Amino acid sequence: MNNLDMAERVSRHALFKELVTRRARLVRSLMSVGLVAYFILIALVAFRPQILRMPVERGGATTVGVVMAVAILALGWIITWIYVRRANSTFDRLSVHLLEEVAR
Amino acid sequence: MNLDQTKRAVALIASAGLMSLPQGAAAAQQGDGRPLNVVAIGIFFVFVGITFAITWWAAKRTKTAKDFFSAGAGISGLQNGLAVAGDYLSAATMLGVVSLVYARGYDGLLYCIGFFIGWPVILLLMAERVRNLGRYTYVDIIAYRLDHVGVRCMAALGSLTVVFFYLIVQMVGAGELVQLMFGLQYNYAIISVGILMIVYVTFGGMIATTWVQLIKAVLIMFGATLLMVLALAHFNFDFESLAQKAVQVHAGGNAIMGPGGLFSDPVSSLSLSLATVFGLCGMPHILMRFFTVPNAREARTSVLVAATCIGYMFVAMFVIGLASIVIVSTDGRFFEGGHAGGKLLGGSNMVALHLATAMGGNLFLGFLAAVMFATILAVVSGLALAGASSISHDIYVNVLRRKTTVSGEAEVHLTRKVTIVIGIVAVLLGIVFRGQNVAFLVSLAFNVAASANFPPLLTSMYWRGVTARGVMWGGLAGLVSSVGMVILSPAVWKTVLGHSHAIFPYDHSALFSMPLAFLVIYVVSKLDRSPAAERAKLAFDLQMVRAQTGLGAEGASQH
Repeated sequence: MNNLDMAERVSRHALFKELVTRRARLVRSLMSVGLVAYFILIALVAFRPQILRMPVERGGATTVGVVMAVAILALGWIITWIYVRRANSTFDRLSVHLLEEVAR
Repeated sequence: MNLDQTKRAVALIASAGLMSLPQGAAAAQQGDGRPLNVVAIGIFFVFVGITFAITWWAAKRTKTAKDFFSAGAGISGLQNGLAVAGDYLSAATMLGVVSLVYARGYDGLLYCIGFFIGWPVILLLMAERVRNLGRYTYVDIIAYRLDHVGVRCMAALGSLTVVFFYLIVQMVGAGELVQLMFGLQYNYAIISVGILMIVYVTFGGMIATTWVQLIKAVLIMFGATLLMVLALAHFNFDFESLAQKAVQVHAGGNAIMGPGGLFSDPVSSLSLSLATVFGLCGMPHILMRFFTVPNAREARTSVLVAATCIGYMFVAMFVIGLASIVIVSTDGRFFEGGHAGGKLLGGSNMVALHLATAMGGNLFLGFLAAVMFATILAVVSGLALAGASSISHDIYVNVLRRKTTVSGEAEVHLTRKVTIVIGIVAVLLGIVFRGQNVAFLVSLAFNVAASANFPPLLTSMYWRGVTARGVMWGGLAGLVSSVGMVILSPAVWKTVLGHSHAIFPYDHSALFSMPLAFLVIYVVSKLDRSPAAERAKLAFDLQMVRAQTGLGAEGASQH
């Protein structure tokens, strides 16, 4: 069976549809979490900068803004890590299984 | 330019480069009375020695076109992740961010976040598909279903625009930086950068470029970590006590720990955000790095490693910037005339290097200066390779010679020649733009990447209904509108060209030019009733299988 036939059979396979939907669902949710958090910060900077200027502790120099900025960097990293983990386990397994099924 | 002229030009530049050291050094010693930093030069020559050895080794392993363009897809995810970080973290970024934090505090940190948040996005939207569908350049991905001369030309034009704008910034930065740190004259500094870049790329191709970027990423992270740790030791490793001191010393007081004026206009900062986030997803030299790994899994690992390094570096740069407020701004040694608070020696970008002197004397300054030079070389090499592949692979092989088959050997041979030409052009542009304010070119590069490269790439991978005509006109609309708006913006129209009023009110165009590109792609594709449009729709299912499962994707070559 050549690659073209195989690809056609893969595209019609139920597992392929599952793979595509599950990946898209994860991408959509992680994307929205990351971008919403980021744009909340951008909106705060533009419309409510005083919130970001508040000190975390009374009389301290470290502000809510610094903590939030670092938290968003951390969140971006966590999103990356979650996707890599899920893709390495679930999606790769699904994809290998699918190709084996079709090759048979 | 014919071959003879090319050879003559290379010989000319090579001889100029050889003459450069003694003359440049003498000029610097007379010029501003700053002694040559022997440590910097020593460490730099060690770096050049090691990278030449790697280039020699890489040249032996570079046999096929695939080796040359994508390192035979044999780079691991960890290695590639480091190389990606090395490609992205330029000297301008490191020095610029530290001095931005030094001058404006928190706004510098906000600036970094925009440049970081693109990494999760590039992982979620691009990395795997780009790896599975691509071959040598990202234009191959667009052409997977939409193989059309116009599409290739448009995409190559977008790619080259970004590469050249970015290259000019790097070359001008390199000239100024090397002049300051090594006491080498501007023109000779630029010529040296050009020659080294040509050597790496023409002989060692992607393998050498990868290793230069990887080594440099490790060096810059080591340097930044050391600088941060030494500086934090002054504050008992307590961030709050560092922040307290910074607030006391800085004229802005407590306000520097919160948003200043830099991002107060929502439209303008939204436009900047879109440019940095989606511009990253359209950077040809970054996308090209995904072809160097064997499969989608390693492509994901690359992003995770790169994001870790880049995120860490941004936090480190913020800490370094704050520490510089306390340590550098109060030390008369670093100011012209010896008065703290006056004009910083060597200009505002030298903050990080002054902090290095304060922390570790001439030895540390020399080390960091050498790392910065290495950084410039690594970034410039990546850009040159991306530009050269675009000209030879996208334009020559797939447009001009599309009716005949060009052997891989001939393609590599041509790319090597094109690299030499790009090197020479980069040197000339660096000289032409000397002393100009080129900061706007970074914004231009990101806005063009987000408006001209990203929409065609995204729609060709995700939308069944896209057609060649749609992508061609949409990409062109994005290119023309982004370049046009940035030229009419305050940063160029007022600051660079000296007009009294800017015609376009924002410095970044992405908020307008990116949606315009998508809109044109959509409308033109919908109206396209050609047979080619039908074929493109039919090919979508097969493309999707390859994108999602890697079935039929380019594998790693066997060595």
